[in-house]
Amino acid sequence: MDTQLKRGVLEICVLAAMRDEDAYGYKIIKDLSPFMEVSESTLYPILKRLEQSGCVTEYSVEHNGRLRKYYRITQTGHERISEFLSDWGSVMRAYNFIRGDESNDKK
Amino acid sequence: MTKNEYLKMLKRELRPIKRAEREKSLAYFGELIDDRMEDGLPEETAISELESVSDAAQRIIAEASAQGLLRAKHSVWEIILLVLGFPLWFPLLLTVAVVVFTMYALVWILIGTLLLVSVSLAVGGAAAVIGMFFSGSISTAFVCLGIGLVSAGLGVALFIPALLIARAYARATPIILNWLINRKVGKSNE
Repeated sequence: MDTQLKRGVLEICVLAAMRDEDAYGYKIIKDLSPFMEVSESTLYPILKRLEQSGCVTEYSVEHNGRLRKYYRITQTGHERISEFLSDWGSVMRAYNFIRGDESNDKK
Repeated sequence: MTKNEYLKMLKRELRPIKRAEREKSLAYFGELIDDRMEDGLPEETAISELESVSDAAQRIIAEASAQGLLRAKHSVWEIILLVLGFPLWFPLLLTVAVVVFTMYALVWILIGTLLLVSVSLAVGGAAAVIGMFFSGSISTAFVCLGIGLVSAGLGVALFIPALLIARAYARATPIILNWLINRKVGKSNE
């Protein structure tokens, strides 16, 4: 997949992974693994960017004698998911157009 | 590979990044490994399932570079200042090194003194015990014996702890050296 497109989709996937409950790094990777392969070093900058853009907030909780960092989706993050879903219609139209062009070429 | 080895290698690879950011990345990876192990994976498997250190480092450095989080390299002016300031910083550095070395040597001198005192007490005690045979009266002989035994006893009692302290300090020497070097490198990485 194109890097830019993959990055954009991944950001939304990461946001979606914490939509129902706050999540930590390993949980996000595990939850996304059936749908998308995410490496540790790919997730790290995504989380940072999401935090910088105000889509998530982070906090640490003591867990089994160590600190575990949790991420919580903000209102901006929820809006970002909604935007993505509403934009997807136009992306699909473009996708169908591209597919149609390709099949026309083959004929 | 163990968790510590992985993180140590990653730390080395992430040297171009600013210290605070590097520590954050290491904490993130450390947490991921802990979570994998807590999920039931043995340490070796938890590490082997991670991406390679160089791949991880490459991505993190690329991201840090895009965000301007790389460590600043010395500018030409800094190098010129460093060269011109040599007459000032070199004697200062030398003084600090001499002071540190003196403090280290001082402890050896104290340990050496303690050892010498204990040996002197033991030898003096033995001499006093032998001296009792050459004393003129029985009462003097008993005084010599008493002093001799007390002195020799103190000598032996002091010698063992002095030897233990000397051994412990000798063992601590590489640790102290390592700490001093790390402190110096750590500061220069800021």
